[in-house]
Amino acid sequence: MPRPPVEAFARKLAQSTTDSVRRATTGASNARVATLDRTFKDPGSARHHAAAIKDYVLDHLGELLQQLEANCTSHGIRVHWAVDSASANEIIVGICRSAAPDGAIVAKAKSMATEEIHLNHHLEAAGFTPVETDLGEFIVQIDHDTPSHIVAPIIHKNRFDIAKSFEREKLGPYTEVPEELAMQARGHLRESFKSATIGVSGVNFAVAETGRLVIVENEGNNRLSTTAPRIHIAVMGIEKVLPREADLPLFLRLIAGSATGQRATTYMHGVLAPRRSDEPDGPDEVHLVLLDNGRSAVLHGDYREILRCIRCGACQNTCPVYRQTSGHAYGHVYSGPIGAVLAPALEGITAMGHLAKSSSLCGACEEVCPVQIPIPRMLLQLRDEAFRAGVARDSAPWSVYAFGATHPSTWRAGLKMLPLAEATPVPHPLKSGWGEFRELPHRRGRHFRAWWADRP
Amino acid sequence: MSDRERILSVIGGSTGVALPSPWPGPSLEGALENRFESELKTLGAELVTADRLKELAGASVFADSDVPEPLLRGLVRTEDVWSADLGITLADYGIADTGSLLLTAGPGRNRLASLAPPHHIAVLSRTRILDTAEAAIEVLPSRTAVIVSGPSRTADIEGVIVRGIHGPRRLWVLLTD
Repeated sequence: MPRPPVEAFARKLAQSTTDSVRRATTGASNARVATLDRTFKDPGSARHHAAAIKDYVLDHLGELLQQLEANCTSHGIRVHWAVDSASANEIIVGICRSAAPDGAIVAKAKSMATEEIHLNHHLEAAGFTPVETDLGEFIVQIDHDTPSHIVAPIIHKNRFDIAKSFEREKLGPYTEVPEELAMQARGHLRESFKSATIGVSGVNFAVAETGRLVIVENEGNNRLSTTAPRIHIAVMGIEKVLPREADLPLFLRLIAGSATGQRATTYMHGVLAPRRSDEPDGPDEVHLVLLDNGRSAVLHGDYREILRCIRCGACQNTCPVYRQTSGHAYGHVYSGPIGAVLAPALEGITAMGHLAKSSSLCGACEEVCPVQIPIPRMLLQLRDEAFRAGVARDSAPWSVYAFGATHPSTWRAGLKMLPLAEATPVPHPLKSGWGEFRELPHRRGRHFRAWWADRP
Repeated sequence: MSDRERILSVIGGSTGVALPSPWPGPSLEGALENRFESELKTLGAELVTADRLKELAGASVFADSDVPEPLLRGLVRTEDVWSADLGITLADYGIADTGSLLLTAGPGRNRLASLAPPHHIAVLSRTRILDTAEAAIEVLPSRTAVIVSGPSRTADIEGVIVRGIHGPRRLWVLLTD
């Protein structure tokens, strides 16, 4: 029986990688609890409130997007709609071509939406030079790697890995000190900010009522990427809209606390317009790309609530499977519990349905989710769909068990043979795979059916 | 059909789910200025008096045009924000709950002044310390704005917090009456 892909990947991981992931996820989980408890009298009711606002957004998505578009346009932000990733890449490459010469540097701030559409690949193919400016994403880029966590892209690397990469790229004298490594990156990336004609960012929240694009971050690379270059392109999943500015504080508290255990992120950049004539700096053009890429279809299915997600990564940090396997095991830009639902929801059960089995169904993800997404319920349903579609299989012993458990006469026959099976000294079929690290229960007393038939 | 029409037609209309009122936010007890100062410290920033500026004599400074001239005495002015040692700006408001500052773009106000130099000083009027982010969002002007909570930081390398990765390493707040 071949192991499922996520487990097979995890078995090949270096111990140092597992250690890095486990240390970082445990730390983030602890910080999250401490901060949310301090921020909210009742974190549960705050999460419930946020979920209710998101449900309103999903129900009124069409209206809110049109309101956002109208308000952005009125301040001079140009709005583009992209039905899929091909369309989004075409729009973004088109803006770059109209404004910048071949080979021009595109300063990129961290954005999962641009990871989702593989924007860097398309920019490079069109002759541009995208430079990731978030420290973690920069390291991912120079290593030709992919991010393994929504918030902490290099959670799988340690300082020694990074030191070797920086030495190879000749960023400065060899060092393993995080402060010195960070300063080498700062010096190197400064030139990109100064020379970039175009900056690309994601959007965390877009306020329909005013047309304000809100981006949160800690490093300042996002502000630099969206301030210094002449053109700012913001790429946003259509579900990121919020109705009112007054909704921002709750979501800002929840995302900072849930993602990194901070009470507030270092920067909350609220972009309202391109540089106005009375303002000394800022981009001359701001473009907003509204990305659908399968989201509108998810809206009408059983996984609708996954669109409440604010990409905090708390479910990844708490998930016992993610902690053991790392994000790369999932083989998708979205990993962990959120990825196990979002990847098949966006890309189909055939391509990604096997991820539904990369879960212990312990329920921790739902417990920590700042917008109360019922991830375990969705994972169970996805397992069923994946099984029916033939992309997730049960191992042979479980298939036998499932057949017996759904066929009463077989079950009865099996029960009769059970004492015989127990007396046979051959290895138990459940003693490999699932049962490898589990103790099987011992049978005691009579069968339930016999007891039921004889009851007084 | 355009992408816009396609997306909107798949999304369709609403079923009338009601919008909850905004989350009320916490209520703060005690003196706002004390809370502001202690939160600022927690973030790794500092509340300073005008005397501290003497430490910076000789530093090259990029200042917004609405910063009061007397504060800039003894400093070397530069027009190149990228090479400045220090950026000085006004802050519109402080937020006591989280030790944050609200800065708005506008005439004479450079977005890069609080961002590109390794040291940022924000000048804030004592009378403009609000209690919470909820109060700050209420007075958010119709301009691009940023809420700053402490110095620039990253924890990307093994979770070790490093300050000043892209933005300022040091943040000072100077209160005025």
